[in-house]
Amino acid sequence: MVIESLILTLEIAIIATFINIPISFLCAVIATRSNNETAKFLIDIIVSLPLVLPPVVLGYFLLITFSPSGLIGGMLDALGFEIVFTKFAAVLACALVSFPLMSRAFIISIQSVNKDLEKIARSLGSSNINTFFTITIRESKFGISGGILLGFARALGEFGATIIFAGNIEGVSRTIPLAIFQSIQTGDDQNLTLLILCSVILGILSVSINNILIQRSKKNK
Amino acid sequence: MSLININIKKYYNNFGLTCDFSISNGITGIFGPSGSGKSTLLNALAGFIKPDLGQISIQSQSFFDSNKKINIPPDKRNIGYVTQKANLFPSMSVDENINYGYKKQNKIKLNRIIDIMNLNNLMEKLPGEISGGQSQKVAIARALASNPSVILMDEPLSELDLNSKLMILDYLKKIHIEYKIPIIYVSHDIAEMIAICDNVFLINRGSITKNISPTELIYENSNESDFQNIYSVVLDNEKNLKLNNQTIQINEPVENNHLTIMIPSSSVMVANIENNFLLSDNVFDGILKNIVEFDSHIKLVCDVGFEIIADISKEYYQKSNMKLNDKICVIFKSISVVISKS
Repeated sequence: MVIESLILTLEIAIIATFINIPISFLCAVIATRSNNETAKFLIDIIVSLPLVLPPVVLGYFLLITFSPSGLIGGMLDALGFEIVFTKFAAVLACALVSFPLMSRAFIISIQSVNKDLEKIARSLGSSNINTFFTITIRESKFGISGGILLGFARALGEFGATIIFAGNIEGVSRTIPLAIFQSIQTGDDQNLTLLILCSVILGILSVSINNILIQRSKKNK
Repeated sequence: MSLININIKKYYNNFGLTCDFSISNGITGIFGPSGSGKSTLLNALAGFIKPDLGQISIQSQSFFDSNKKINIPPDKRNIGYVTQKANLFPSMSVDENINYGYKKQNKIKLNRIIDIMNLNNLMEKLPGEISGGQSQKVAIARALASNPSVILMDEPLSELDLNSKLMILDYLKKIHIEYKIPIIYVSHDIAEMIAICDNVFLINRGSITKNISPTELIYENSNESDFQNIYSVVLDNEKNLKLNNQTIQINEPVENNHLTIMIPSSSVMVANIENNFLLSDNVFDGILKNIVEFDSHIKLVCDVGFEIIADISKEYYQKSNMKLNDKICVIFKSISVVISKS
């Protein structure tokens, strides 16, 4: 049970992280480079909302949106796809909950790059897009990596939205947090200890790597 | 013939830039106090600020024309830009920094730039591992490597110590002699302007007010009593330097053939006497060319085969009874000569 939950947790968190990377990147580009104030305001709401709402509420929103009677779920149901209470539902729940952490880290890292570096690059013949990738992204790489890691770590510990949207199904959506919940409910102390140990080790690893990245980012400035 | 023609207007809420002037080859200074519009002007030339009205053309190519709706982006203007801080790309080595804008078809060869700027030992280092003066050298080399038609310099020496400042001035002269790229040099340091510029435009409250020769700056605006006389000199022998056929003695031996030196105006003494009984290492006969009175002190501009500025007190000036075109004697100790070190 422990190994299965560990593998499932890592699998779901990794996929959720990969889904979040391009979306967070797009949000960060709009938030930091767009001249459209309305777009910036909307991005700020999109990025902040999942942070302030309880995960259970997010799970409920996902449930009503993706259930066969929901807006997107209805269309998917017509095409023969079912999302609710599947592994993909767990991935979506993890992605939504971890999204603000990753996108905010991206925004802060890109914003903290010295604008004069971009000006210099432009004067050296580099186009806007080339400057963004060769200077802005390169100089914020540690912050971006830290954001990815932070998002991944949050996905590892996701519980509330997952249990509402994906259920607590062994081998499908029973990630480590849900397995811990299950072990408490059933009084399975042996597995509970191992699961908590796994959870703590994963947490310590993530925070340590994140701290190393922050240190390297500071050293680089 | 004018190389750069600027006729622009840019309005902000509490500031307006209105410039109409032309720049020819050589090193052109833009001198003015903080907030006078110097950096705004450079940013408009480089394409980082879009003027509201007017035209900018460099070597007959139009970069901005509000009537014809032309506004060439900064990356297509081929203008080198060196800022107050070196702004090297932090995660790139010196080598990568210099190569960033370099194209193989450039007529400027990278190895030659590295040699002139004496960067061979720094190429593998990261910006965080080199000094401020070295960083500014790399920034200049990086701008040069992009083969610019003009280099804009926005107070490039203002954050450097004296030795680094002299060293960079030394290199700037070398690159100007070698490549003859026009340089627009912005600063509010008179000594720097006199040391490097061929021609100076005064800017105040967003408008170009005057076009003067660099030495005239001393009469325009310098209430500071610590003026720096900066010269490019040639090594005669290890403790003697040649400046316009005069020999300046220095305190410590040097090896470089060409260097930049600085003599603080407060270390220069002027007397209206003959030098034949004075025992000092640097004594020069000459003529008192100008007297500029300030609130706190008096600046004497002396021609002793080279022009040197001395600061004296009002009391001493009154006692000495010196007049314009008097024969005078200029004295300074070799220990007061500051020499650039690469």
